[in-house]
Amino acid sequence: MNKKQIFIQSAFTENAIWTQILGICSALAVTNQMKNSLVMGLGVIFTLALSMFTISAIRSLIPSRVRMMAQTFIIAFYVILVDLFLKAFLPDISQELGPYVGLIITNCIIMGRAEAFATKNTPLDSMIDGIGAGVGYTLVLLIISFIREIFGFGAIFGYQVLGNWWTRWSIMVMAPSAFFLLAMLIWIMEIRKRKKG
Amino acid sequence: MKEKINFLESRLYPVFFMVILSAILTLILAFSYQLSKGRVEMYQELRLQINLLSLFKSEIPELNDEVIKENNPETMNKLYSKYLVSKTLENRPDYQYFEFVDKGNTSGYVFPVSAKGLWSTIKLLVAIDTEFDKYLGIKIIIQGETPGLGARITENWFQEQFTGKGFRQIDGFNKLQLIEENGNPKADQILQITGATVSSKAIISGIQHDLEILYKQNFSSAKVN
Repeated sequence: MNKKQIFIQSAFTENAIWTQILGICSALAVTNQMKNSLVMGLGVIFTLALSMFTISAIRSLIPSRVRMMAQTFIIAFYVILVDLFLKAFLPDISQELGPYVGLIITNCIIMGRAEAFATKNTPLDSMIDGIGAGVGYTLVLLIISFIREIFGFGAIFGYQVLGNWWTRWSIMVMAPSAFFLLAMLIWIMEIRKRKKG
Repeated sequence: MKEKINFLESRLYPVFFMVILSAILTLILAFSYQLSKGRVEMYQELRLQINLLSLFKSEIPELNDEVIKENNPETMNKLYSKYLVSKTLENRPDYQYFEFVDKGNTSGYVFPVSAKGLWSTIKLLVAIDTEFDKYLGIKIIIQGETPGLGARITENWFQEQFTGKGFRQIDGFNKLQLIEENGNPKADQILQITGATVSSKAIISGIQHDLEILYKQNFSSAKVN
């Protein structure tokens, strides 16, 4: 598989959210505003790219009995770096995201990609796979948050696009709407896959 | 070579590996923390100063929206040292509050207060005059309420409503009441945020609870005597 195929596979054909149903906790939590979704997505892409690279680079040294522990450790390491960076250079966004950044550690996509790909492939391929999975994740977050923000606030990225005549749908701002939207997205993607397949 | 393979397969190797990995990663993190510590603290300090100063925006001629937006640490530090004094309570030496001093006179206090919101503990600053008669303003510092609903307590219109509202009356404390967001508030009424009654209520009861205690324990005797 070449690098482009790896990317397309991990971002789209085997998208972690809609084919593997991984990482949905944060997809539900941060998707009521597009800005938060984007920053969360970027954090996940960064963490995935570097932790996959690192895990793959030292894969022959990681003892299999403690490999999960070592992987979590490496993932947590990069997440703390992201958190420190946001606190020091983008304090406003850091304040807004609050505890969500720390929660990247618990994102199953990262652990999933580490186990499924990085432990068997070269560092560069693993990094591309990580970026792909992160981009796929961010894409889903942005789709859901776009729908939630436009119906819930009449806005896109915080900019009011629908006027005062728009009655805001409170349900879209609350967590339950993310359940419905995510389920519908998975449903649509599944239908497409079956039609093609 | 043979020895190396044996070691990699030995029972001791995982322990050895984790110790080395922990040492390296922790060292890098400690180093990055040290590097960013100064900046993080500076931002926290700056944010506190801006929040404190903006509570008295109308009384500080040098301060306007542009200066606040500019966010210059030096200017803020200068203004802060000119107008604000940090103090602690006699009975609670770990509780820090602030006095607003203009031309040698203390004309207001700022107290850090906390309130129990729907999801989070909301932290805010409350400015009040030295007689505890009325609020001079409030500023929400930390909150983790639902974005778009409860989190709207940080919107300016909501916070600005408190300015000028009464806290103490001759026969006790004034109770603020909530009314619907698009209503017409009277003197003791605050417009609540639609769909976020809990967060709106939390702010009011948190402020009143904490300030009543502070007033009774630390500031009333001075006034009565």
